[in-house]
Amino acid sequence: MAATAPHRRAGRSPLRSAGPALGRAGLLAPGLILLVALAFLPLVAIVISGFLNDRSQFTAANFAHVLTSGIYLKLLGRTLAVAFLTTAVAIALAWPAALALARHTSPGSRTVILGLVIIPYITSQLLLIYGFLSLIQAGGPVSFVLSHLHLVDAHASILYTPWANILMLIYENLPAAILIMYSASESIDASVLEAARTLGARPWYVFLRVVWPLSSAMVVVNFTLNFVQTVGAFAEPAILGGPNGQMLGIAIQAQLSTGASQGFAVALSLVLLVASLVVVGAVALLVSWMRRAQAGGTPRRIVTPATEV
Amino acid sequence: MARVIITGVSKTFNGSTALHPLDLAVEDGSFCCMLGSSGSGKSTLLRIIAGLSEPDTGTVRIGDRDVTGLPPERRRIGFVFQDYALFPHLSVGSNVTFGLRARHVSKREAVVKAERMLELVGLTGYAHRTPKQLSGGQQQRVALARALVTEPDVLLLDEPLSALDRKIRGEMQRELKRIHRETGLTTIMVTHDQEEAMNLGDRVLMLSNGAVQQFDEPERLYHAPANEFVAGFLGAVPLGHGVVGTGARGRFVEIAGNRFALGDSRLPDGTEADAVVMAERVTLTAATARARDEAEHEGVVVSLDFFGPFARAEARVGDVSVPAMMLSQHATALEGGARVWIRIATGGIHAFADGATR
Amino acid sequence: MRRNPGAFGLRTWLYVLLVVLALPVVSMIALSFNASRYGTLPFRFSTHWYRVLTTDSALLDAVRTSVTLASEVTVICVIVGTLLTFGLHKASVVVAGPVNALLLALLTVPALILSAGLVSVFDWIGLGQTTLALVLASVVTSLPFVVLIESGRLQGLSPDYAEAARSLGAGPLRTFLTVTVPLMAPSIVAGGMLAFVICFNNFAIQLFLAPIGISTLPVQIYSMVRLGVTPDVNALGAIIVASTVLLIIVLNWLTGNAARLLTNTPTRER
Ligand SMILES: Nc1ncnc2c1ncn2[C@@H]1O[C@H](COP(=O)(O)OP(=O)(O)OP(=O)(O)O)[C@@H](O)[C@H]1O
Ligand SMILES: [Mg+2]
Repeated sequence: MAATAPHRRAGRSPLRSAGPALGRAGLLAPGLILLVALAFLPLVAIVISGFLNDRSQFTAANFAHVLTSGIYLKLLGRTLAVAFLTTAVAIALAWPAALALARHTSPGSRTVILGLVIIPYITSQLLLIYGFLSLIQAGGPVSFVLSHLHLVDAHASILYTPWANILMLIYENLPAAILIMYSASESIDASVLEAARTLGARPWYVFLRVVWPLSSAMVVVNFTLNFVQTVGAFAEPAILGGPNGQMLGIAIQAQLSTGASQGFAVALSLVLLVASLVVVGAVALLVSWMRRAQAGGTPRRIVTPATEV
Repeated sequence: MARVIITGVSKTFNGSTALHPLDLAVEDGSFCCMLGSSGSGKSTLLRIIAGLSEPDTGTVRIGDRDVTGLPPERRRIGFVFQDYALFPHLSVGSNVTFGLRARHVSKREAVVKAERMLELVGLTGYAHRTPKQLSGGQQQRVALARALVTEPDVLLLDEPLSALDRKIRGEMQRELKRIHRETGLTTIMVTHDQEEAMNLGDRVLMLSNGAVQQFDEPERLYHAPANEFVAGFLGAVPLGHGVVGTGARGRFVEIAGNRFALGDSRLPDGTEADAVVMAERVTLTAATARARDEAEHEGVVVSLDFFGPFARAEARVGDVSVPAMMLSQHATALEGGARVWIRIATGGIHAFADGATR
Repeated sequence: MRRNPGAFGLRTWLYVLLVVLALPVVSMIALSFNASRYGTLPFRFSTHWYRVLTTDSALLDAVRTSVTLASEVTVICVIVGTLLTFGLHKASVVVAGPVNALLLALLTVPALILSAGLVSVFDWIGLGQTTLALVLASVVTSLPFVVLIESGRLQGLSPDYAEAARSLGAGPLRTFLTVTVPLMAPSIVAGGMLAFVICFNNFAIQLFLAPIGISTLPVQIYSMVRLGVTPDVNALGAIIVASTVLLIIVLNWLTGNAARLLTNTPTRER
């Protein structure tokens, strides 16, 4: 997670010398005010207003409603499942490509390829959804090609099915996954991988025992960032998913937009946030457990001459 | 245990030749050092033997197997990298058992073997540490143990000692020698340090610009360098351009009117040749000390430099400048501008026609 | 590596994935030159939709709104973010710790959920759905990216430069203005560009906080797309993608490596 922490304090400050003239407080004040008012307060507000009913009375009714409603729980489960699936699949698809990018391309083409990956990464998500929609709609390019190959009917399309939503979410997760797994792959020393091969390890074994443990921390970072954002998706399911492809985000958005029951919308958000943090935490724990099991298994036994009689 | 036989191996990288077609046979159980300056293709050749890189042409045989198309994991080799390349996420013990586990050796057996191997390299009790907790020399021992524990057919080392300081390097050289003696493993080691190559190798392969210059025993390399490049790499200094001839006291090369004795030379009389001299085989004696011997040249000291235990002088014989390397204690009698008698030991001068034949 | 089948397979996969990534974008550009009213094939070349775009006042208004919003937000973000970066760099852990935690929370809490909180806060303080609320909310969601990029650069900066300037007799203010700020300039520009992009694309915030009757581009596309395909959006998309390519080239030129910049940055807001 080090890569995401905005600040670490450096030992010697390049600004130490610029000190007294610019008051520390003066530098921090505007940012602090903004952050407290518009980051801290909203986060607190999420918690508080989740506990308020329409008449601003303190109550846990909103949560009771969410947690006892079969519909919302089912929607929550589906949302988490879809987010987990799309995030994991995106990483699995991106990883081999990122390895190729880090190890088997020339520096010149690397710059171009990274540029190509960044285009969808910083293009408006609505435009991407729009492009995807026009790509897969009946009569669009995909359906045109497939029907001319006589693979599907001319009017068939996965648009307005859960699969359209899932494919879109995978697509949106891909650029970040490629970029993050690329930097993970790049940081593994090439000679370490070669050493594994010379020791008799086949490529798959090298992946399991060297590449995976050396990248797993970044996999967790990757998973966390993408999962948490995917969980909150609502435009994708609303536009592409059709009646069976709904996610909790749509419900939250609907409740918020009508303005009728803000407390309930916030309670839904909070439940979603906590649930997704639990999933992220579980994944992180699982991965670090796997890593430790691999690294620590043998050595304890090796020192036995000292401890064993 | 196996011979390594390389036939017609060549390699180019994007149009530039790293290795010209090359043949090489390393005998079973021998210790071969590859010596050459930076960029001469040593690593390229070693990596081709290991299967980490594919040759453009030619074949590689290890023992009686043609391994040319095989990936590294199926060549039964041990490889030691310059930067050690230890697995940072594994303990020392797990690093050493890695190769055994990859070959489906049981965990129990792997641990026992790893323990024995760590003992061989003098790291008993370090198994639980992580590589980061070891010094450079210790890390290289782990890398060595890791490569040896799988009982490879041949051990390949790419400048294994170059990241270590002088003292540790000497220690590791003795260690490598001992381990080679104990295991009898065919070993090929890359180095750019000529002393290291001479000290460790039964045979030294001299490479330059992707071509073999000489493949010989260290003594032969020193006493009979195949060409001016080899001689130069071993420290010989150009003496000048002259003509080979035969006189009363045997073969000589005449440079600017001065005749310098040659040891054995296959060059016919009258051949124009470039002569080089080994400075450590030149002795200077102050002219005031005694009369000149017949075999000695008369000269004048033009410069004198001290390097701690050694000193280096340069003397002029006519227009030819002759370097001399000596113990510092022998230099105290000399001074700039003084007349000296110059003795060049037999074999101290080599002559090469066109910088090639001896 | 010629005969390395593993590398060949991996590289092929990389190219397949690049094609897949390009598909929606390329399809959008291709269809923007297709005459069909419904974005359907077969293809007939036409620049009709670009002409339609010039008369689609709703879409053009939305672009204008988005560009204005993103510009304002970028200016504020760069100023506040730069001050914050320098402030945090000198601040004690007691201050820096919680602030960093807040910045991190802004990056990881889904935009939809953050919007829910922001709507509540703006209701309480009486701003509701106003332009000011929209600007403030956009600033706060783009700010972490600016701080992230600038502080990355600031930490990588050797203190030697500033100390050298002081040893040459420059005062603290002069040192700051003539040494530190120029050294920081590429990251400030890069941070600003990223802030612009993030703000421009921040759909969730805009959907909930934009004043009634005012649509930003993502919101406008959202409402249009639910009524079916209108190919002039393709035309607009093609123009935006072209600007994106330009932006990436500039970023690459400024920072040497646009991808590195973004891999240090968590995924965009959704
Ligand atoms: N992967 C590669 N791509 C392109 N050129 C290479 C590659 N590997 C080696 N070369 C080139 O091949 C030549 C031989 O390189 P090699 O690494 O074998 O030299 P070396 O003798 O090991 O040198 P050093 O002592 O510096 O390690 C050099 O000119 C080098 O630039
Ligand atoms: Mg080398």
